[in-house]
Amino acid sequence: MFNTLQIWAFRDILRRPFESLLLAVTLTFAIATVGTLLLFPRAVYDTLTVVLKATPSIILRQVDPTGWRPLPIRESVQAATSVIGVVSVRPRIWGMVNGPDGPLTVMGVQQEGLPEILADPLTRLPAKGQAIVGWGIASHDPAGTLPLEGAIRQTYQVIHRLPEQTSMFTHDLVLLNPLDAQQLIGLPQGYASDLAIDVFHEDEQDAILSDLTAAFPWPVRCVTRRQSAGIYAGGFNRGRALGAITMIPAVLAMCLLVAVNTRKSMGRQSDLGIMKAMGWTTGDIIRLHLYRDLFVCLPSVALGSCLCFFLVYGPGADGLAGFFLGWDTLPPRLYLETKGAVTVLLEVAGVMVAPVMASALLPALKAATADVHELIEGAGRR
Amino acid sequence: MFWHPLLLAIISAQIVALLLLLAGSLTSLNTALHWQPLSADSRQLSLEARAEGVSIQGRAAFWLSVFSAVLLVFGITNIFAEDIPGAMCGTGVCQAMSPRGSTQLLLYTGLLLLLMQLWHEMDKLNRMLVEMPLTDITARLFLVIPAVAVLTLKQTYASFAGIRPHQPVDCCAVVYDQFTTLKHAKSILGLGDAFWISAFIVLSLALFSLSVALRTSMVDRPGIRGLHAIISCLWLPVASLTLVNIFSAYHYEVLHHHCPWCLFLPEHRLVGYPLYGALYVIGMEGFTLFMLPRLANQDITVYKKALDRCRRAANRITFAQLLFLIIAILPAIVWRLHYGVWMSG
Amino acid sequence: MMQVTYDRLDKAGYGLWAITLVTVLACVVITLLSLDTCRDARQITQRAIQTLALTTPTIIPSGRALRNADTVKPAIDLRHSPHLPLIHFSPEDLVISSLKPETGDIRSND
Repeated sequence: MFNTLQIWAFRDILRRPFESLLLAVTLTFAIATVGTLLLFPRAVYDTLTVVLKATPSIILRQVDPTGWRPLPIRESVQAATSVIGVVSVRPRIWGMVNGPDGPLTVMGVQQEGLPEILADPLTRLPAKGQAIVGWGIASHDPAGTLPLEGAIRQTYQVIHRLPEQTSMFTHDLVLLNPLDAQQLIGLPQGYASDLAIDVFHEDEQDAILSDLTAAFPWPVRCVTRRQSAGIYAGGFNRGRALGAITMIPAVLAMCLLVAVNTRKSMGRQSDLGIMKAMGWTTGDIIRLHLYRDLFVCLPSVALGSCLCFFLVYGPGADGLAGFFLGWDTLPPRLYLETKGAVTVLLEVAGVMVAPVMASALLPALKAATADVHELIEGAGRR
Repeated sequence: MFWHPLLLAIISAQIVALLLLLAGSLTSLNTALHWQPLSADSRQLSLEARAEGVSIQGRAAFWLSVFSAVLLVFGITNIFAEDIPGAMCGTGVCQAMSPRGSTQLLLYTGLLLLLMQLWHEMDKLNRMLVEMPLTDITARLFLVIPAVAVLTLKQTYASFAGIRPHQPVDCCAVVYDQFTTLKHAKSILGLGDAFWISAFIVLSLALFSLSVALRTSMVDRPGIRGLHAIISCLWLPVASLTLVNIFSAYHYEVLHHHCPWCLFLPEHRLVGYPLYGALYVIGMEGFTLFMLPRLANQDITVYKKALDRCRRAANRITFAQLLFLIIAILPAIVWRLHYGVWMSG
Repeated sequence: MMQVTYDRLDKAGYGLWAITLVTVLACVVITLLSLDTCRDARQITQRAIQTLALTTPTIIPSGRALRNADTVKPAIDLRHSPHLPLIHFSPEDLVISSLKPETGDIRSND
């Protein structure tokens, strides 16, 4: 399977095993770091673009010069349903309140489909004073109560938890009875925070906006699904580019390391001279050195990529979520798509592997094309 | 400025390739000035060794350039659009770059690949013979390449620096604004679809038969090679125009969506890659077929090898053309058989 | 002397096999991790989103600016003309704008 030149090249590595091992370890960790920096936001981006397809087409809010205002439910539902192309209108009651471990998002629910997601047909919707909480909200109280503080301060009885698999959208969500939620957030009776509107055709999202704004007697602002996907996902993508830029000095340092290492091993130029005198061509010598560097690089690349895959798609993802996304409490469980991972491998190849291999090739070439006579004589003089 | 990790990878690969090219061009300059194959002094001997080094550097730079070009196309067609609001395919990305910037970028990349491919073929021929009779001319050719590589690198930076990631674009508007009336949409450069289809058929037949002919001993006749070059020069634009304006409708299943980039999207089964890949192969191999014997005519042994290479080029052109025809036309034929009419009526 | 050389080459051969094995194992792990194991989670998440009409992913903690990025107060957008482009501020632009050699065409909004 391996030809003599390759075995000879590996023998050359074994002559200086520690240097090669050091280089391999450095390369592995550099690739793992860069790869994780690139892969994690990519995976989150890909997953969000897939999952966000299920969100409502348009979110509509009432605005005034000071900012958001609650919407009167009856009038606004009437106005929205009068627009042609609107399939369903759902008022949403939600807001931010203080929980025991920091801010939480509270939502009032009346939807009948909820027990289906909980996979427990016996579950009822939260009644007054009851709450269904997301996976990330730890209950400190053994009785299962949750104190919340918004417009009022009240303690709720936790009756159920949302499944861990939905963590990406329900991690720190508290589902309450709509009346409870209104009181807690401070919404007047009969008012909602915003409207979730579904339209008949995906492409109509943008076209229908002007009709919607015209149908309301007060100023409103709409955010389409595409816009919010762009806001969430685009931010991640730019973030990862900035992260990658910070790694450029590390890559440069690595290239220098490789170049110095290659030069140093070229110090034994009498070897090269003898090889050439024995009939090795420049190509043979270069190939020997390329093999030598490849035998260090390839396993390092594979191990480094394996490490970053393990961190992002394997059990390491939770730790990364805590680190990258800023969770002080239990970070959400991420279920990430592997769709764009190939792009990241290509990026790693372009940003790291190509410069490293070139920095090995250039000094090797310089030494290999020198004159035989000079090589042997130079070695003798030293 | 538009920062995407893939763009960093492209620029990094281009810079590394440029460094290799620059390092090699110094030796190439020496070779071009002082190459004397008949003398055996120490300068000539060291030049010979270093010329071999340049060949290795050049090959590394060639593959890196191909890699960065592939990444560039992949990025424009499938990746960068996700960061530009309103862009759905490469058209949106090119629009965000400003039309001039994107055209120049693609032109420079193509020119760089063309020159490097020619150099690569010459170098391959050169290395087949012990005397390396083409070293002089490959060294001269090699000196041209770094200039184009610098331009490509500069243009890559300039084009992507022109993108403002938060300024929305409308790529469908660009595609549909090309024409104002339906009659306009059914014609290219004022000539109707029927003219272009017949031109495509005639040129395809001519190119195919010439390529088949060149696989035999007819490859030795410069006239036929010249004719082949002219026909492929005509065929390439006609094929790409008919592909975008006529055949693509059967892939998109929408009329008058004259977008060259949407073919690369996964929704259309990524057919853009084999289709444009075939066009690229025909362009490159056609150029090689025409130029190689002209540049390698000083030595009869090299000339023979060059002719062998030309035969292989003719072979590749034939297969690439068949691939192109099958992928481009098959959906149209299936449509016709299924519905009994052509899409354009 | 002969024997030593032989041993070293032999060791090199084994070493090559070892690194091949490591590389292949790493590739196998990568492939295993790339398999689509989260389809169930994706489906149930999508059902939850549809039922509860959710729009914001909870991957960033509540109370942070990025959490409800699409609902931040539209102070900038509430200007008198809808034709004005959005004002955008980002650190990249601060760094880069002085170096910008070429910009895209100015497009009209009509």
